[in-house]
Amino acid sequence: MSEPLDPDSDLVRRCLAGDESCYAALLERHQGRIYSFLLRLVGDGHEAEDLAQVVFLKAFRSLASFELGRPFHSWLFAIAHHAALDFLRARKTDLSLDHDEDPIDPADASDGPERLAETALDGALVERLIAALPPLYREALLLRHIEGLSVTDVAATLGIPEGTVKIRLFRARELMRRKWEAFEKDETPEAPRP
Amino acid sequence: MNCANARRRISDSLDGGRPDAALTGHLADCAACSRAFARARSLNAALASLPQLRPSAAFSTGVLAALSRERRLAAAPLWPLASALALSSVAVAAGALRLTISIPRIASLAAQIIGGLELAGRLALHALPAPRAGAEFSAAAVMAVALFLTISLPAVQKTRLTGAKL
Repeated sequence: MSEPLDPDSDLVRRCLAGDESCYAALLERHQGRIYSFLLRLVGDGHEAEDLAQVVFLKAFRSLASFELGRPFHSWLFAIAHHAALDFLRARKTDLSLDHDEDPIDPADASDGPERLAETALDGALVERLIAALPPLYREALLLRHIEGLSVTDVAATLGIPEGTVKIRLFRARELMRRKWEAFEKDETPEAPRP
Repeated sequence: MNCANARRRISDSLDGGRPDAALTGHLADCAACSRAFARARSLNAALASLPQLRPSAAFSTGVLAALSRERRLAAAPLWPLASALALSSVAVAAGALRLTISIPRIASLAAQIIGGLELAGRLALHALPAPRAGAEFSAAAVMAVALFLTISLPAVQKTRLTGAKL
């Protein structure tokens, strides 16, 4: 007796068998994740919706090529990744990482712990820190921490080696931390003079 | 362990690894790396707690409508194109046959055929409710054949008539 399929694979199977209502169910289950990912990646709600529509239509058209039993959301994210990169290239967004500086600042390592009081991270600040990252670091970080994919799944989704994913995550985290500290510097009021 | 190595290991530890003894020892001695570790964990927690965003209420309706339109088009009858192509085949065959029989009758026949082809091409373009590259290409091809015949048939006629006089 074969093992029961996961809910997504079962919906895909039913779509392929002609059950039209299952497309709506798949859409309902995944539209939030795909839209959130695209919005944080391209930074514009209308563009993100257009891209999400492209992603779902492309997925539904090629549903027969989906391998039942595999994570459906990873498959969708792979399609979304390609759609977003095409969009960013068309918008002439710089996707190269050649100019990337080493995120470890030697001066930073010598700073004492008393230098800055840690500012609480609210959602708006985190969104700003994410938006300031280069797109290729941003998408690795989004998939890993917001969508909860493992490093292995992120690598498979983006079509890059796991080592590359780890490097992008490391640089993304370091850049975010430094931006956070820079933000604190700007926000910290000067101490009153005696 | 230096700070650069420690920062990389901190990042790895956030992806499932655990801080090993070397990293733990370094963190105990290095205030900056210790602070970086604490911040990295705070960032992780903040990222994980970001809300999932929702598209507009019209989004799913739009996707399903577009999907339905695509599927309807894929299943739509192709009789307008088939008619145009069949008509063009008959026209070419009939024209070729009649060339050898009666040149003067070709002019009127060709005019009728060309008119029919153009009409069929336009019908094929307009019969489909939404753009479809294949249909547009086929209709354009039919109209191109019609245009070609419009230009070439009078020349063929003229050649034949001239040849007949000789």
